[in-house]
Amino acid sequence: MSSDILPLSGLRVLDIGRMVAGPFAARLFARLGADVIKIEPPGGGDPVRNRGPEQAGGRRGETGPLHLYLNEGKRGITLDLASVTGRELFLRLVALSDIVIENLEPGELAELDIDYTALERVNSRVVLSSITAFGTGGAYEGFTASELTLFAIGGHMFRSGTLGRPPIRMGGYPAQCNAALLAAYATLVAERARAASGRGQHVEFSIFENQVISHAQAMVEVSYYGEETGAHSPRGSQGNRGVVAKDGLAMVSAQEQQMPRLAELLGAPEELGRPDPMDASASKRELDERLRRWASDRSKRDVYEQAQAVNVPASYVAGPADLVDSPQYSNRGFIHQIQHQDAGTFSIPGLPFRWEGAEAPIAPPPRVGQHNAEVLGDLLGIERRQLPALAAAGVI
Amino acid sequence: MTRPLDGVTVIEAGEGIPAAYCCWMLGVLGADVIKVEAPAGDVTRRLGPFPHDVPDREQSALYLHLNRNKRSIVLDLESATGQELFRELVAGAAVLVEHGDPGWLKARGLGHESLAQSHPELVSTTITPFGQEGPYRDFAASEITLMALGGLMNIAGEIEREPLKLAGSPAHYSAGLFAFTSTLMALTLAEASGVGQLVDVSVLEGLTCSHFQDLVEFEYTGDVRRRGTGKMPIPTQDGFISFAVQAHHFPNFRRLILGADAAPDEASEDLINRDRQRLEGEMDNQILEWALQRTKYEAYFEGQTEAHIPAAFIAEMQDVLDSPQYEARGYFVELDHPDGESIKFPGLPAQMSGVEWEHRRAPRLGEHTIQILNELTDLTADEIAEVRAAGVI
Amino acid sequence: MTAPLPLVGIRVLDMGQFWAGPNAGRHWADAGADVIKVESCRRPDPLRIQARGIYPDHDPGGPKGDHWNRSGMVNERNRNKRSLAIDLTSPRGREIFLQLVSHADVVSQNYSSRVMPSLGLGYDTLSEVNPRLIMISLMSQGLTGPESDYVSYGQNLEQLSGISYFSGYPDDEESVALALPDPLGGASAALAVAAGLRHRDATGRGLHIDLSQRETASLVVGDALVAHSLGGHPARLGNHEPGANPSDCYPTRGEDRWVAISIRSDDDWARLCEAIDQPELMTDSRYVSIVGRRRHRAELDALIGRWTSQLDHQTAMERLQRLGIAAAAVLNPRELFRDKHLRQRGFWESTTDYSAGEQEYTGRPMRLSQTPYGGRTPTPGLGQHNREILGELLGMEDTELDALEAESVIGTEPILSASGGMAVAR
Repeated sequence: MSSDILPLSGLRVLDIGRMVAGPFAARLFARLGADVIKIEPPGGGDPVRNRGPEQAGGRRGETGPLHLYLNEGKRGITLDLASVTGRELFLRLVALSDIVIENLEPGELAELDIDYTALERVNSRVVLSSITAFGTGGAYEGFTASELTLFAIGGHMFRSGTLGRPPIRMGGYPAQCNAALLAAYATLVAERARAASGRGQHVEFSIFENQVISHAQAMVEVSYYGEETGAHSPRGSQGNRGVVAKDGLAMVSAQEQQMPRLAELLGAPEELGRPDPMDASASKRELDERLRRWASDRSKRDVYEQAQAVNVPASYVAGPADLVDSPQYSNRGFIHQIQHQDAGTFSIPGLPFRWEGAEAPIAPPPRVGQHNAEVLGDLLGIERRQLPALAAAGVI
Repeated sequence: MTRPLDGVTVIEAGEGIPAAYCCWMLGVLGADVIKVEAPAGDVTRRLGPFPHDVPDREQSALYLHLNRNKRSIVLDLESATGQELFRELVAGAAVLVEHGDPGWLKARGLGHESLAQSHPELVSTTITPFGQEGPYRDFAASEITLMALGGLMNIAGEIEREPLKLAGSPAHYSAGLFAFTSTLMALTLAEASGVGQLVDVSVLEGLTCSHFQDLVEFEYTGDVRRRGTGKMPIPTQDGFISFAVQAHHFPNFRRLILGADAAPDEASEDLINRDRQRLEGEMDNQILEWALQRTKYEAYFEGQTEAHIPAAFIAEMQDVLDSPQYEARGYFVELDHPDGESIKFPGLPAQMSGVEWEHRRAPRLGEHTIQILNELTDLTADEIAEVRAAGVI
Repeated sequence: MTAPLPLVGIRVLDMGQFWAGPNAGRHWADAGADVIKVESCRRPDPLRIQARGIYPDHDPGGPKGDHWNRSGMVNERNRNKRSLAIDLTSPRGREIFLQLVSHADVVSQNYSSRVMPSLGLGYDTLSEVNPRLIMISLMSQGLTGPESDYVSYGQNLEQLSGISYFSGYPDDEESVALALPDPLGGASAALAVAAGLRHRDATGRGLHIDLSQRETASLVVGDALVAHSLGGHPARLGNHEPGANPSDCYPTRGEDRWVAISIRSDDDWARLCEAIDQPELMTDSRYVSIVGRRRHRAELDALIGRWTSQLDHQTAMERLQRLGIAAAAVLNPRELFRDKHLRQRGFWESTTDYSAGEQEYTGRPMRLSQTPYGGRTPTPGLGQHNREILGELLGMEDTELDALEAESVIGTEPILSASGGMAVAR
């Protein structure tokens, strides 16, 4: 039984990304069994480590939830890529790697002289995966971006929030996660192409363009009609609004053919479930009112479960506690427990898809430079006693 | 129990040895020393040595030694927010000690003049390679260059070979010591008068101070002391011994080496006229033979207890750690550390009959950031989280 | 460009409907896979027949009356594919499908969990026919678990995933609903299959990928889950991002026009002062530090808003970007369609659709330096390649194909029930 072979066994990935997009993609590779080495600046490491809250009594920068989430499963080394020696060590690692992932600022790779041309020279088979805001070429080339600004320009933001108030972004890191998932795909595809071509290539991904593509309906409308009709949730309305349950919000999304079942669930007269098309809005209002009363009388989870039990699409607004307690997530083993030397025990989501033997065991995220001795030793033959000089020179 | 500097808050800024050493001593005396480190940490965290040679910013011996009895806060002084927080810390402190390029704090709006405007009792001690003025002020420097410029290097080593630097960083440690004493003086004056001042310490001058004797000799006689006139240590069974025999020691020394029943020698008894060094030189073979019959400890103890002459063995590290003398005085301090094994550190060489020293381990990077901000600023928890997220603390 | 497309030689039977499934199919097709959109005349992709779809010139039927081939939502995400329309409920159709499975590498489906087994096309059956088959079931909540049978739309998944909890104004319980789970699911599926292909190469065995769109969406707020488990209380941030002060949208000239600005350092603030031509603000003690900018937020917002209100959002963005500040105009679809950056990048791709005429669609967000990624053929008409596929892969002759057509096992027009079109929940 080849149970030790994971999907990406044998692939070595160098993660020189910072914050979210690059490291998120790199973590997906780690979950799938690649050997992922995260390379951080010496000293404070990746600025993602500054995002808290930090655990009392832990080392600085080792216990922030965002870092813990994004860098699970990787080995961690430090290299000052701006120094001659640091760059040289990096290129020696590139020569032994399959994929390099980055999401640095525009022009930064070139400034450090580690752009694709430089990498290709030391390893013609390496795939460089660049997750960028706007890509190269075009009026916005060189623009810097944050999650807020990427979400803002990508199209979704225009419809969000209430008229009269600023548009509001989606929480978490939607633009970057959306991009990283697809960029990871494109990277694996480029890696696969090596079998036929014998060489690597540069994969460049634009987060902005991915957001635009993800805003599909509006883009098709404007392409076909010249403008968006706004038929689906214009700004200022939430379209299918939620209902208020005892402990939070829920939503019941009955379509026309599900109305009869909904009416029955609510104990409403049957006619309300099959309204006269001439009188639909009044029926709808009454049904909505009954739904509101019904929902206010039960927990959000009960609204969800009871509507779903009669095949009416429904949901509830799940907070992190709900996710951790979710029977669905528990059953599927989506959330893992992990022990970490600085943070203690915490929960972390795994991959959102699975098959037998697909996922590597969860491994704690590294301290800054934790694997310097191991990686530089095993891969580059650098002896331990040479490390202090490298540290003193600020290279590691 | 009270300590001399209880209630005194000291802010330490910059990096390297002298300010850290100075502030360690202030900390042992009871001051609350707040060490401000850049987000990457003090450079001494990178200099090691490290257990098993594996670099770890929390296990650098140099850092652990120099920074006991302190709390650590990270502040990025390149940012306006960091500079503003620094001002708030200093406003609650009696003393600021720093080591860096001349004017580095002033360039960030944190020079003494500016800080003292709202805090006239502030004592600022600045330690720089050459001092705050003069033609060398902005020159780059290191231990070896300062030792060379300070005159100490020229007289160390052998005349036929290149000059030699003394081991370790005595120039920087001396500067720390001078900063320590001057700071205490300025603090006393400030407490009495309500007015602080700027204490300007030059590492170079501290170095030169420690061998002023040669300078005075030169001024007096015109003679330039030449290196290589020191004596060679004498090999024993397991190490080296040396003797510093002066005129009045010589008879005892001769008896020690040649035996109590050695024939008297007129020349050696002539206290006024004898040529001690020549006489000692004539005994070279006997000295060697005598020493090789003994271990270094035996030679040392015999020389001291039987002949009452200044004798010393060349102590290696283990000898120092095992020494019954240091042990009797409780000189070494053993401290635990959350990241590594417990280590012995040198304590303070002075004992005060009315005070017992307290020794605490060096802090982790930024270990006390939140605690200090809560004590000395009015930042809310949210504000602290934001400043942290921006990497300023 | 020298290399062939990376997934050439991989064949996918894409049974996906609506958005996430076909989206994933398009990703594989773009990379060169032979993606066969497996449809059915009796149960076409609901987006082919939806009541309020998007049609060229608002004219569903068009010159040929084949509205099922003119749906914008279908044409947007099914390019580079061939279409086979086959009735899987008929024994002959099922048999043909199974034969195709033996010529395929991947079967992708996103029906509700009962459908494939009820068609006798569960993974057990398919893998018997083809032990090297990779099947991917792109489910809203996965194939297993107490809620796996529940039906949900994108908005429902957004709520269930944790995204809604964190999306919206901090002072308002309502959340924004922005339908990201579908493209997230498509991307997740694309990745899973790429990884599955590599796994299969190593083990020689097929596999069944069980993908949950709800779990995929949870990844967007995964750090909040970690924070919660450590005893934290992650909360809605609105437009704020930690460490950026301020971080928000500011009104610009015109109606409901905004520019988003992230001031991520004291340096950014100094440059903002420069950008708005008020350098004296750099030393204004109210704003010089993060703490000050937070404590004087109201004044700060008014100050910035006064400047932004005088400019259109595009200009505000460009002025700030010139000084290295992260700023972006909140663009509406029309502005995006005309956006000069996207045009200069050649992002929009023009195709002549099967029945919808020449249209422009979004292109691809990834560029591979050695490989010509992108659109090659437009979205196929329903069943457009029935004969080509069955002839090429199964060697079927015209007479046999004629018979299949006559029996409605294959076809090119929807066969709808008396109640008309249906939009079935996934």
